[in-house]
Amino acid sequence: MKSVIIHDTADEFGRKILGFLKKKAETSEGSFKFFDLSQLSMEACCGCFGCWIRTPGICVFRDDLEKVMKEEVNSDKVLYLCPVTWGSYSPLLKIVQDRFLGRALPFFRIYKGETHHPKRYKNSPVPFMAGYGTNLDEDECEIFVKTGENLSDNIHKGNINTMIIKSENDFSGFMSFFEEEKK
Amino acid sequence: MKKILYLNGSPREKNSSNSYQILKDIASFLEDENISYGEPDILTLPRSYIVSGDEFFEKMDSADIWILALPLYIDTLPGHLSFWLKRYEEHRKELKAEKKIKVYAFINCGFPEAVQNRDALKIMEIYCRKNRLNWRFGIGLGMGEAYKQMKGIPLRSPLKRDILKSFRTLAADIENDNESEIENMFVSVRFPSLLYRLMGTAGWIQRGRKNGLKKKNLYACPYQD
Repeated sequence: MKSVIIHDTADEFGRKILGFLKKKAETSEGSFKFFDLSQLSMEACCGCFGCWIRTPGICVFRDDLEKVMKEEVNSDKVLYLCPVTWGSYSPLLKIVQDRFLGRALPFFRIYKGETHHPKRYKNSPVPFMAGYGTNLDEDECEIFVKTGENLSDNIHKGNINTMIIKSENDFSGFMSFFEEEKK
Repeated sequence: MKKILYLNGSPREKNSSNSYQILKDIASFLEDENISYGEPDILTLPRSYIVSGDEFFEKMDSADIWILALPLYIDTLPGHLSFWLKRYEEHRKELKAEKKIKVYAFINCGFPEAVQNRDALKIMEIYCRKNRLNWRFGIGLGMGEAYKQMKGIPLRSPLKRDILKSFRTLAADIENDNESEIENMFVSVRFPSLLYRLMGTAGWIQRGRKNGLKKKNLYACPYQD
C-alpha cells in the first residue's frame, strides 16, 4: 500500500501531530511519503483553466506541486493535514487544492442533487482530511467537515474521511489511515 | 459619506474577472442610488503572496465598508485570497485601535446552483467574527459564466431581477446603521440550468479545439502510471 501525507504543520501542535504520524508510518505496513508544504515552491492558481483546455490534467505552473500531484494520483491513500483556518484549510493547503483542479474534468455531472465535475482519474486514492487546532469553535469544525465532503464530491473518488484533531486524545482518529486496505 | 473599499479576490486579470465586473456593477448601482460618488476604489489583491501588504492593509484599515467579490475555488476561497486574509489577520492584531468595518461578500461560482457558495460565505463570516469585523451578509451568485456573458444586459432587466434585489438589500444595509442580522442571499441570472450545463460543456470543447485539442484529449490522465 502506497500512502501520501501532504501537510502544513509549522506550529507546535502541528509538529507534534507530524511526529506521531512519522512514528506510526515507521511501524506500519506499506510506503509513506511526506510532503511538507512549507518547504515547497508553488504558485497560487491563476484561474486560467489551462489544466482543462490547454494541457489537460497538467497545470501551467510546472513547480514542486507537479511531483506531489503525480505521487498522489498513484497512491492508495492520501492524508491532508493542516490547521483549521476559519473553518477552512490553511492558505498553503488551499493553494494545493486549487492547483489540483486538473484532477477533475471540465464537464458537469449531477451528484446529490447538485452540479459537480466528473473525476479525471479512474483510480484515485482514498482521501483523508485532518484539520487541527486547540481552540476551535463548533461552527469552524462543522464547516471544515462540510468543505471536506465538498472536496470529495468534486475531486476525489469515494467518501472523504474527515478528522478534527483538538488534542492528543484525537490521534486515534488516524488509525484507519494506517490500516492496510485495498483500493 | 461612508468610505467603501471594493476588494477583488480573483487572481485573474481585470478584463476576464467576473469578480471585478461584479464590483463595478455594484459600484455603479450604489452611485445610481446616491450612496457613493465618483470612481470606485477597487483593490485587487495580487496573486503573488510574497509581495509587501503594507499599502493594501492601509487601505483596508481606513475603509468603513468592505465589499469583497471573489470566485468560488474548490468550494472555498481562492488560495491567494486566504493568504492575504491571513496576513491581514496578523496585521490587525498589531493595531492599537480597531475600526469595526462592515463587511459584505459576493461569491460567484460556475455551477448553476448559487447555493453552492454557502460554505465559502460561512468561512467569510467566521473570519469576520474572529477578527472583530462587522460581518453583515453575503450574496452567492450561481451561473457565473452566464452573468459574465450578460454583461451588456441592464441590471433592471427581468433576467437580472434576483441580482437587482440583492443589490437593493446591500444598498439598504449600507445606508441604515441597522445591526439586525440578515440572511445570506443566493441569486443568479434567469437562465435554464439544463441549457447552461449544455452550453458549458460545448464551451469547454470549443475552447479545447482552439488549443488544437479534440474532445477525447480533454480526458487525458497524464500522471497515471
